[in-house]
Amino acid sequence: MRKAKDLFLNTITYISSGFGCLILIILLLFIFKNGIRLLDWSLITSDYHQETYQVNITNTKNYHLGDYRNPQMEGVIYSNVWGIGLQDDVDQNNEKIVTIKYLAPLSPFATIAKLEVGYQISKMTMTNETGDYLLALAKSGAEPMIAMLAEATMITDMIATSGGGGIRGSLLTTLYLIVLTLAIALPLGISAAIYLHEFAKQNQFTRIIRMMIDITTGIPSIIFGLVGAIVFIPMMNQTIQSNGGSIASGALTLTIVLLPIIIKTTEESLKVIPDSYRMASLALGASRSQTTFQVILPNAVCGILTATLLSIGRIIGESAALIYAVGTAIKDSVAMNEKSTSLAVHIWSLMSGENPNYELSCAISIIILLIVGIISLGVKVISRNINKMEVK
Amino acid sequence: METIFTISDVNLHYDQNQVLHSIHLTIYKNKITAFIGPSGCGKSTLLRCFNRMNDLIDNCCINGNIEFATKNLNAMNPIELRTKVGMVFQTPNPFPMSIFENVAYGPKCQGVRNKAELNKIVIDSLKKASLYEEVKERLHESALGLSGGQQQRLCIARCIAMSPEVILMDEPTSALDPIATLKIEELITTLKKDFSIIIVTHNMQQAARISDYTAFFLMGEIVEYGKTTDIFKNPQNKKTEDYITGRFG
Repeated sequence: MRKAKDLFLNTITYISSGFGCLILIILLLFIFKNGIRLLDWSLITSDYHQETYQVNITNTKNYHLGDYRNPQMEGVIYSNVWGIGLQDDVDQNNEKIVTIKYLAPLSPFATIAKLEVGYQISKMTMTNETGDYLLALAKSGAEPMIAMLAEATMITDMIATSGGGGIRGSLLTTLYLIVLTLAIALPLGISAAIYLHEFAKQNQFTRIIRMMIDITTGIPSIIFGLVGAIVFIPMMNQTIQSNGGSIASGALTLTIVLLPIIIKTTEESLKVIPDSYRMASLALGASRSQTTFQVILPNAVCGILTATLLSIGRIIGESAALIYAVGTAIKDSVAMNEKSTSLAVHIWSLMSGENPNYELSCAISIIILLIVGIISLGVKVISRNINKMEVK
Repeated sequence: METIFTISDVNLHYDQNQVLHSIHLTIYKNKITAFIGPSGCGKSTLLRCFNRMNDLIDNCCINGNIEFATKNLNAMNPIELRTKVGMVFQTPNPFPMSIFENVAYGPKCQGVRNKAELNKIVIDSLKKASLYEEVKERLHESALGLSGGQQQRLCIARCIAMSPEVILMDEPTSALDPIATLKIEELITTLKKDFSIIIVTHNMQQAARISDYTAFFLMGEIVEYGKTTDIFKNPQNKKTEDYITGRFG
């Protein structure tokens, strides 16, 4: 009877943990399956907004057509008359595009049109020797375009676009937010935790403060966003001449979100430090603050690192609190006193438009997961090294 | 004989609970004074009065007069007092730092910054605590790698580094094995010429072996106080006799 009961209870725990793992794996698989195609270095380094170039190559005196060397690149269709190599591709919205993969140094596309490798050609109108117009569109592919180029003598009108769809701006904004927020929130939070645990008498006052901190951790972050909109945006408008939301007001809003987390985690790490250290230090004639800063704090580093990690995770993941405070307009040039989007808000922006872009959103999710993963690994390594020092 | 502490009519309460009842006691300089008695009889509490560690307990209230070399204890700055009255705790509690840093911690807190001076203090203290020979090769390794007995001697060295006048010891050997205990006891007797030592112990043989004076505590009162030889050979009080012969406690 007892055996059956044990088996039943154990099975429940197995199933529950298996279920949790399963959900996590499905989630990761979904994100990776959808996002992995877009994941490359250019996603991180390029701008979100496309630059469009309209060019023509008509002044025949300035260029010569002829026998450019074929670089023999795989999958690239090459025109040795114009010295350009093109490749079929699809963009983030799964539409066919034609990408420039090679440009001969003296090709008119490089010297006159000033195009670069990586640009996309969406439309090209050409004339041949007899003066007939030829029209090549990206949706019909690279091959017909090259075939027409072989006959063409002039490019009368051409539309090319560069980059686009990258997340450099949002990534930068996120990094700015992390650095700025931690720079404000960590000193404040750690000092508050030290005061509460090491210096303050445990009385009604500290009980009330603790209760407030507990309540603050449970407040939905959209409310912090409102606070940011009402308090910090006007404040920053006054001080750093921002207009509406800005990274600075976002960092201040996040500081409020993070303070309770940092205070609680740091205080927990102070609680586990044995009282005997405090007694030993005080008995040696050290003052309270010498004891705190030279004995207690170095031992709380692991806990403080954990608080930092939690904070970074929260900054990267926070969207609701930032929608007002930093804004939702995806930007490529990032400045402290201007609106931009963090990675999470970038996803929100992509998904809230008329054509939700699942693929790019998933690619950004992968990047967010990678950042969080790398940081938590880093913290693990550091705290293990610290622990080694202590036990050695 | 010079006195180092004079205690007159000390009463101590934790909230409503009276722990010490009208204590009168004189502690002599450069002697080892042992406090014995059953658990909860107030001997550790009285010990903590000498360096005002009881101040750190919120609900503790002390009445009466304690004089440290003719100065009233309550008029002294507790931080200054603790540099003159050191303390060794029941369980070895070295800081999670290197051996060197542990011993240098106290002087550093007092503002000693000179490397050579610190070095001298550390080595002298470790030698006095008869630990130097064992650790001289690894002064800069973590103190937590030492054995329990070595850790306790390190704590004593840390205390000596402040060059105090008195060392308070709160059952310093109760967490140690007999061999480590023996070493600490030898150390205590050699320290006697430089310091006055007050030691709380549960081990009556220990008190008999090392101490010059013994005070027997019961229920927060001092039942008997005198030369150790008198107390153990010829106790005046029936309760003392019962305790030291093992009839209770």
